[in-house]
Formats: sequence, C-alpha cells, structure tokens
Amino acid sequence: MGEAAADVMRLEGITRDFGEGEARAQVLRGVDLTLRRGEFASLMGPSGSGKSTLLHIMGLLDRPTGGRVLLDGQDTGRLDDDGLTRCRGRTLGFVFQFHHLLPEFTALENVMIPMAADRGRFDPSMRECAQALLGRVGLLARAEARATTLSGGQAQRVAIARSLAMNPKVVLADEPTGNLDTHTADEVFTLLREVNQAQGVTFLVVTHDRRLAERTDRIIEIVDGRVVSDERRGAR
Amino acid sequence: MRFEWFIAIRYLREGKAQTALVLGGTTVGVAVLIFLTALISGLQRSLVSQTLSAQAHVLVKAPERVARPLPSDATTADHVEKVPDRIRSIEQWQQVLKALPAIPGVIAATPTAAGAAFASRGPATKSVALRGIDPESFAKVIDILPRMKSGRFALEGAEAIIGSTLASDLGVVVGDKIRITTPEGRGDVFTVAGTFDIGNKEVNARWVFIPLRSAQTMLDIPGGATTIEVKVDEIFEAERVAREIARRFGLGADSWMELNQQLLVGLRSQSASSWMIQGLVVLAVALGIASVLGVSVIQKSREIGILKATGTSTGAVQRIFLLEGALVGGAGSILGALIGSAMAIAFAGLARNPTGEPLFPVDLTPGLYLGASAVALLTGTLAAWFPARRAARLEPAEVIRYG
Repeated sequence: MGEAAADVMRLEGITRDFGEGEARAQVLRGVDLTLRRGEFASLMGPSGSGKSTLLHIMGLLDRPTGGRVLLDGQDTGRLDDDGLTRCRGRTLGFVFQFHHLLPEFTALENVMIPMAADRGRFDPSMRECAQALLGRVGLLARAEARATTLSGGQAQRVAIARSLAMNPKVVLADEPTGNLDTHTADEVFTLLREVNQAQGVTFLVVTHDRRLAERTDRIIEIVDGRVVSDERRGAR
Repeated sequence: MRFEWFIAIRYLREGKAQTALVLGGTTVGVAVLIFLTALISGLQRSLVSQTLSAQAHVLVKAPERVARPLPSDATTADHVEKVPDRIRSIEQWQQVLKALPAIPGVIAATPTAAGAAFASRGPATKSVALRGIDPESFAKVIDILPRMKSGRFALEGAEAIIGSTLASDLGVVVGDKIRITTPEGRGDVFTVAGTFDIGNKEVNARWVFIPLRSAQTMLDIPGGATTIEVKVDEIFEAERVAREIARRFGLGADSWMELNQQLLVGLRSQSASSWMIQGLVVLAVALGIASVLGVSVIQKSREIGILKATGTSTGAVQRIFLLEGALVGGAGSILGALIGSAMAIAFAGLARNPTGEPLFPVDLTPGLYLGASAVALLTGTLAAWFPARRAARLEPAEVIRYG
C-alpha cells in the first residue's frame, strides 16, 4: 500500500498502433512504467523510438491502443474526453519543445489560461498566483510582454510557469531545451530541477542530450517502442 | 470575465484583417437590410395612407338584395336577374352606429347618406357624388381637416363643402352659392362653406359634402343612412373587422383591402421581392462569416491544441468560436443599423413633394432594428457553428506533435 501511494503514475502494458491493415505500425509494444512521487526522471531514445507518443499517452493527450494508464491510482481509460481534459488540466503540466505559448496573449495571461480554463472565468486571485509563478521562474519583469516578444529562453520559462499553474502532480516536458543554446538550456534545466526539489513535483523530461540526462535521478531508455533500460541513479 | 469571452474577444482583436473583413461584411449586410426594409415599408405605408386619405377603412352598407325566384314546377329559370339597386337606407342604422365601437379594433364610425347629383352654377353643370355627413364624427373617420384648402369643415343649414377641382370648374369660392339637383329632380341651393384638396383629382372634382339631413331629403330616404364609414386602429386588420361587422349585424361590410385588391397584390409582390433580396444578403453574410472563421480555425489549429492540452474543454473551445460569430454579428448589427439609418434618412431627404413631404418616406421602427439585430446575431452564431465544431474536434496530440 505504501508502495502504491508513492506511485503517482503507472503504465501497464501500453501499446499504441497507428494506421490500419498493411500500413499498421506498432509504435509502442508493451510499456510498463511507474513514476514515483517527487521523482525527476528523463526519457531517452532515438528518433522514432516512440518517446513522444509515450509522452502524449502519459499526458492523456492520446489514448493507448492497449494497456492502462493509472494516475494516482485512478484508471484514466474510464474517463470520457471531457473527463480526460479535466483530469489533465488538474493533475498534469506540460512543457513542449517549442514553448507553445499563445501568441495573442501576454506572458501573464498565458500562465493564467490553465486556471481560467478550469474555473471557466478569470478572476483577480489568478493574477496574483500567475505573478508568483512568473516570479518563481525569474520573469516577473516581463509579465505584461506579448508572448511573441519573448526570447526562446524566456518563452520556455513562461511555459514552465504555465505548466505549474494548476499545481500539478506530474510535469511532462518534451525536449524542453531542444531549441535553446547550451547556456540557456542549462539555465532552463536548472530551473526545472529547482522546482522539482522545492515543490516535490514529479518531472519526466524527454531529451536526447545525454549530458542533461545525467543530471536526473533516473534515466529511462526506449528503443522501438520498448523500454530497454531503466536506471535509478543514487538517492534523490 | 468568462474564460470563453476573454479568449474570443482577444482572438477577434488580434485577428485584425480577418475581423475587419467579417465585420465589414456583416455591417454592409445589416445596413442593406435596414435600408431596404425602411424604404419599402415607408413607401408602402405612404401608398396605403394616400389610398386611405379619402376612404374609410370599412364601409358598412345595407345587405345586398338577392333575387329569389319563386319555385315553380312547370318552369325552370334560365337566368336570374339581379334586383336593380336603388338607394336604400341601412335599417336601424342608429343602433348599429351605437353598437359599432364595441367591436374590437373599431375606433370611430360616422353615418353617410350618399347618392348621385348634379352641381350647377349658372351655365356650368357637373355630375357629382353627393355625401350627406355629420362633419364632427366624419372628421374622426377621415382625416380631412388638414386637407382643407379654404373655409372650414363645418356645415350649418344649407351649406356645402366641395373639392377644390370642382370649385374651380364651377368658378366658385367660399361664400358663393351652388345649386344641387338629384336625377329625380329634387334640388336646393347651398352656400360653399369650404373647399378641400385630398390629393386625388377624381375626389376633388366630384365630392360634395352637405348636412346629413339635407341629403336624406334630397335622396328621398328620410332619417336614413346609406353607409356607415368606420375607422379601425390597425389598418391591415380592416378585413377581419369588416367580417365581424357583417356577421354581427347581418349587413354588408367591405374593407379597404377588398376595395383595393390591385394595390394589395402590388404591395404583396413588392414585399416578396424585398424578402428575397434580404434572404440572399443574409445568406451571403453567413457564408462570409463561415469561410473566414473556417480559415481562422485552420490557422489556429496548433493554438487550439495548446488550449485543450492546458485544460480547455471541447465545449469551451466550441463556445469560443460560436462567440466570435455572435460578437461579429452583434457588432455588425450595431454598425449596420447606424449606416443603414443614415442611408435611409439621407435618401428620404433627397427628393421632396411640393408639400414638403419626402417623396421616398422611410420607416425606421424599433421593431426593424430589433429584427435586423436578431437576424445578424443568429446568422453570426449559426455561421460559426461548423468552424466551431471543427475546432472542438481537433486532437491536441496531433496538432502539437510537430512545432
């Protein structure tokens, strides 16, 4: 029981097929994976190994062809689309490779969107909360800047602040530093690590940068849709 | 602020060119709607009021007499001749007159004794329509007071009020005397108390008003009235009121609509073509909104995916795009109403009658604005329906996968 409570996300026998008939391709071929609360894990693998697909299934953005995704012990396969959306909004945060901020909105508004989407309206307490988050990622000064005017590193910081808006249990980051120069990539990675340690948020970071992966608690490697190595590195 | 409103308004504000395009289209559409409807209903109203200037809304008269051939075993009638109509009074017209105001829709009624006669002065003789009236109640049924050209609209003793054309034909002015004779040879001399110009040459040349009592004597229907003229509050209800009067009193009753069939047919076909034009305009606006919003959904696919990934429900995404359509419709209806009214008023000012009345009267009513706004709002929302559904169905994983 104590073991189960420590598992924030659990994948059981996940498969995912694309296409039909002759063109059918099995991208995930039975993945079992458990994320522990407060863990800072990295997911590595060559292009086409299925790591983005796995991340989307873990993020409830996609449904697996077979297998179960349990979030905090709850089987998400039973939820309808709106249920998935709600569950996703409340327990998961995303950081994408391309920051994916909404260009029509300011940095602050981008951080507020997950809160407003969940509550159905904007209110002043959200503004304070979003300001605190922007302060946390060191970007309070640019709160009112349009998303399009931010540099790559700044935009990724805002995206991190947005991923934390709903106080998620797990943040899934898809190559969050893939588009940044080495120095900025280091800074952003350090920020993720800080958030993980300060708030105990579980992180799963997809990366192809071995050097960055070495800085995480756990390296999961996936090749051809299967987990080929899962290495825990010392105590966190 | 509601989440969907905030997003929809921001999208509209930021999509400047697209928003301007659909807003422009909607505005022009509503302006055309307002302008066309105002002009056509104005023209129709003025046509009808022109027609009704000298005509009561409902004319009550004695029931038509039907020939009833005696049935006989030996013979079969090969045709039945209509009873020749002579001037007849409505039986018990005083009671009918008293009871009329109780009928819903009736606002005034006046008795008339009408027949044919000649008016002469010296060698000039004209055939005229003689109308014995009670001036006071008559003025309540037919709006003649503003149309008086000279003298006054009152009859005391042997006085007559005649049309301006007849006055000039006979060469008389107020205070002069004319002789009026019926075909049966009864005649009397009347003093012209006033002249009127009702805007209809035929009426101006033929109508002669004399006191009811004098007309009764001249037409040989002592104490009688040949018609009761009725005014109703809603002119297009006249037919219904006429039927009701006919049913209750067993009298003949003709509405102005029945007496002006051709005008009515003209009005109806005019309305029909105007509706068709407006329908096409609304369709064009709807297609415009739908196509521009459709393009914007495709352009925003990635952002819609992000919104959904960050917890925005399918329903909320759909509402965002429906709102965009509704907002464009709403804003377009306000701008269109302003422009349409300005156009209508400017158009009405273009040409005026010698009397100062606009040649092209326009009818800008609150109902018209409400109707046009409702149409625009509905069109915007309905046109946004398909783009909104498309947006709501986007799969976030598919649109965010590749930057």
